[in-house]
Amino acid sequence: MLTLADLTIEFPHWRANYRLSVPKGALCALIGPSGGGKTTLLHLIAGFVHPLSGTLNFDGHDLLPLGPAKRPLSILFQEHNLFPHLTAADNVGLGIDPGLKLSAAQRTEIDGALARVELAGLGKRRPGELSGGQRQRVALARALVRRQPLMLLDEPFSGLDPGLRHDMIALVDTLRKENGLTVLMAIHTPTEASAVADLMAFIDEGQVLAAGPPGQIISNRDHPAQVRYFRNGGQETP
Amino acid sequence: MTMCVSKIAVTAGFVLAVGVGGATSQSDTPTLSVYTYDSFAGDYGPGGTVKERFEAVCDCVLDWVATDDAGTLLARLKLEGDTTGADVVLGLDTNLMAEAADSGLFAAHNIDVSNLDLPIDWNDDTFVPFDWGWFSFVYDSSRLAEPPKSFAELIEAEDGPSLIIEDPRTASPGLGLLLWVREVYGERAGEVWTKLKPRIVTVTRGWSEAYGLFLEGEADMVLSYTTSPAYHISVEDETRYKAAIFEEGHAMQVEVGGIVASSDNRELAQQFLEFMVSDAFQSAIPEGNWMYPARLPESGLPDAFADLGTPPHSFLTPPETVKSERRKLIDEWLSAMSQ
Amino acid sequence: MSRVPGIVALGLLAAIVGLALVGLAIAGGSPDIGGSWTYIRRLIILSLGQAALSTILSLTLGGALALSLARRTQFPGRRALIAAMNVAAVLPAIVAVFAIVAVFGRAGWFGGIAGALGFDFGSWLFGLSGILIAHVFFNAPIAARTFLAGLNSVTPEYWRLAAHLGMKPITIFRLIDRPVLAREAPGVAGLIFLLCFTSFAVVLALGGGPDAATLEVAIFEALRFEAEFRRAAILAILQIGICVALLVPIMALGRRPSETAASGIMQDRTDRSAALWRIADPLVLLFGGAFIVIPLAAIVTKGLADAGSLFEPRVLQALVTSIAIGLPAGLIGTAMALALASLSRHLRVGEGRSRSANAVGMAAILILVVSPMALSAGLFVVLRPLINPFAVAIPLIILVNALMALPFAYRQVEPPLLLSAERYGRLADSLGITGLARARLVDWPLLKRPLIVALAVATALSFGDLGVAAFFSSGDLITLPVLLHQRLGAYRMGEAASVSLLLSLLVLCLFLAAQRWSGDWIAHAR
Repeated sequence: MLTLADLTIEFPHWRANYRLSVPKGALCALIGPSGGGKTTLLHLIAGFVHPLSGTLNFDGHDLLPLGPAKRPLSILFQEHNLFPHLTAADNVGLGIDPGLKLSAAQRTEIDGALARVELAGLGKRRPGELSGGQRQRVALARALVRRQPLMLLDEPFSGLDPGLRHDMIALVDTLRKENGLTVLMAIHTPTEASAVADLMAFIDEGQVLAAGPPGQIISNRDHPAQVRYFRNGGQETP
Repeated sequence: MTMCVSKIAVTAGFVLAVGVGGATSQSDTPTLSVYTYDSFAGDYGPGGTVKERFEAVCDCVLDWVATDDAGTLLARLKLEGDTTGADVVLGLDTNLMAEAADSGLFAAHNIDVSNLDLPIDWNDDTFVPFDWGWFSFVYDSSRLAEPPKSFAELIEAEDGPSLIIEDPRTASPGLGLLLWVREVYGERAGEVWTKLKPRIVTVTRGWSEAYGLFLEGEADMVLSYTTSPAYHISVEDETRYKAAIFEEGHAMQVEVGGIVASSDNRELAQQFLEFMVSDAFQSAIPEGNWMYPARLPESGLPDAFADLGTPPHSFLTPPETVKSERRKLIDEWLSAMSQ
Repeated sequence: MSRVPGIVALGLLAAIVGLALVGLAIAGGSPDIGGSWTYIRRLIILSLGQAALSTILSLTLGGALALSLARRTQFPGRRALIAAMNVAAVLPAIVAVFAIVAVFGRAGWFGGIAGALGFDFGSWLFGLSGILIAHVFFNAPIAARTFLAGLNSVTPEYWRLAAHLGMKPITIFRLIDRPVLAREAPGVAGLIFLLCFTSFAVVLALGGGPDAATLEVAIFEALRFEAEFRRAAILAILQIGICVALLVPIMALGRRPSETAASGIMQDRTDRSAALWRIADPLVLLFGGAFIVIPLAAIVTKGLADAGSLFEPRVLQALVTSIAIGLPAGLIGTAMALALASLSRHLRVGEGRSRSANAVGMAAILILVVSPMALSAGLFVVLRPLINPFAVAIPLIILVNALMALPFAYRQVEPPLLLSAERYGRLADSLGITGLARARLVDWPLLKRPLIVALAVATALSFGDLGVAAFFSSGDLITLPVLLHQRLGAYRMGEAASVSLLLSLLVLCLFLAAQRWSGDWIAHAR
């Protein structure tokens, strides 16, 4: 179980306070308008920023005292997940050893991860030689080799075509089920997310304004922000 | 707006330029413009005294125009050509004389040069000598206890004294040294430079720069004259500066003055040249330029000149030889020095 | 937008450069100068070697400083250090020479200390070592600035990845910092190489002999010291040839304008607390910083100490001459830049002829190829049969200085002019705003600041110029840099100090004014 209780952070012009519970092994979709606080939430969990107060627990462990590298999670950004001058295999290898000192067994593991995300044989390519979708899959492969129980995704598929996006979301779901991962995925297409998400949280104004099963969140318009958001059909220009 | 700004800016620019560039002042007394090297005209040279004494008899204004040293002097003249504002050039030496005469910029002097006190006979029609001396390396005896006694010793000693010399392209001592080496070593001059190079601290544009650096302690020896110590003895009461005398002999320098052919003040220039060999000018030379005067002043030489070393032999390369060899010698020197 | 000023400027440019080239060709005559070729060949090799060495050292120190500054964002004196680096980058070369001699010379601060300890340092300042020190002094800051900008604009995601994956400091350097340095290095290296290869003031003042010279100095000497027109011309032609050869790869490598920080929440570097850097960074900042700050301090302290010598007539005369030359040069250079930029824009946006527009841009930076000394030598030779060049020294110096400033002024005014047309051109057309009104309403707001910056840079460049002023100077005509050079040569350090301070203040005032108006210190100002 991932629990955020009153996790508060302050910026010069706004303030965020998060309250959220995600059961272990669940896929929780984070939706909401841009600038509303989805990314901040993920960065708080990842450890890139520090909260003023509140608690962050995963599986009974307090995550707050841990540095970003020590938290049991993997994170994918919207872009720039890979280093352009390293090969795909090396980029994945960073997940095993950030100094890239890899044994033969580890290299085999990398190849396996690449195969799992359907990029077998492309290990020697540089990110510049891969498509957007392929790059994000390399990042997914890296998350796999890290074998962390929690996975955070910050709109990693927003730049892809709808068909590809659908496939990637499906892949994330499959990996989640195979490995028993807890997944938080920020996404700007709630309808697509609702196909795989167990839980959906609507975030705006630095708060989790509503959380529950996807269908409920999409149809229920308790909060005025929710109404505004969904008036556009739940879509926003990425 | 942009167009306006462009136009205004360009016009303003040119107006300013022309205005400033074109301003000149005129006065009624004729001005005699004498080009010379800066240690002659500077505060520590004889220029001030000479100016005073000449203006007293000429009813004119004497204007010194100074360059770094003799080589630059000649170059400047050649650059200016006929349009030069110089009336008299004072400070070239016999090494530069032939080239200067070739430039066609000088006129005959018509002065009686038969009773001068030079160690050689003078028979040039264009230039008149005003002082002379021997080149030598000057050192601080409190720093260098055992100076080299010969050129050979200077060259061969690998951990020998450090040197400051002048550039032969710009300074007469520099060129003098080149010729001196040629006289002593002939075709082996290239070797000499290769051996000396590691000990040459710097090569300066002019004599004053070199001597100044030497006095600041930048090197053990400086290329100067046998008469340089006289300054320190006479003015500073200081005897530690001495000239090293080499047994092979020293190159001699005779400095000259000449009238510029395109001058508007030919008569005044002539008058100056006559003044130059008169007692009024010559008496200012020993303790002004610290060289031997071309004509001994009535009062003789000052005491400080009494104990100066004299070389066992003197060399003076014929001007025509210098003219034909100069380029080759300089290039040889440049090549050796740039290794 | 009228094309006429642009065409006039282009014509002027072509005329001046063309005349100079003609002069050089005529004076050059046959390439047969016998034994001199050995020396010239050696000279070129030495120049290239010196430039290469200067570049490597500058990049090394600049890179080290940039890395340390990127890692240490908060320490007392950080802003002062960066300010000092910016000052060092725009200081006139001859002032930098004075500063170096004042600190490292035998009679300088360090020289004295070393001498007391029994080390004999004074002499080594002359020659290659002195030249290298001076070149590194004002080129390392340029490199540091470029590298730092790059380091500070790394995508925040990479820092997050570094934190997230637990990268060690060495890995961070390898994967994040080093690629940035590698990317920026070629461009800045090319620039510094060209500057050092065509260096004049430093080499003239600290040369120490024929074994440490550049072609610029050789051209100057051939003409001024030996009146060897042919040799000067041949050297100048060689200089042009080599600069063309150098410029092609430099342009190809390109100079990307430093980009501002990427969007998104800024992320902190994660290697600040690394033990290795905590030892290395302070050392780098201390010694690198001292290398730059101490000579600057010498200018101030020694200059103030001898401030009295500023009130001599010669200094005032030099000041007036410098201003009389600098202001017109700045105005003309900027005016020409503006005219050329207008023309280029008209060709590109109005007529769609972008190749012609690029050609105009190339013309603006012609001086980088036809070096100031080559240009001056050519003009000298061409004018001499007609008029004594020394008599028209001031207009000549102004013209050549204006051309020297042209590339920098052009770089300032071309982008805003282009931007204005691209953004508002069609709008203005549709509303019928043309001519003067267009210039005033549409161009001027975008142009105002860059124009002031251009003017300040152009004028400052002329104030600080030694080469051209020395080339055309005769006894009476001295500018402040020429005066400073003379004082240094006569070892009159006190007087040199005060003139250095004066010159520095003049140049700095201009750059500060420019900074205030543009919000950014002048990058690549030299």
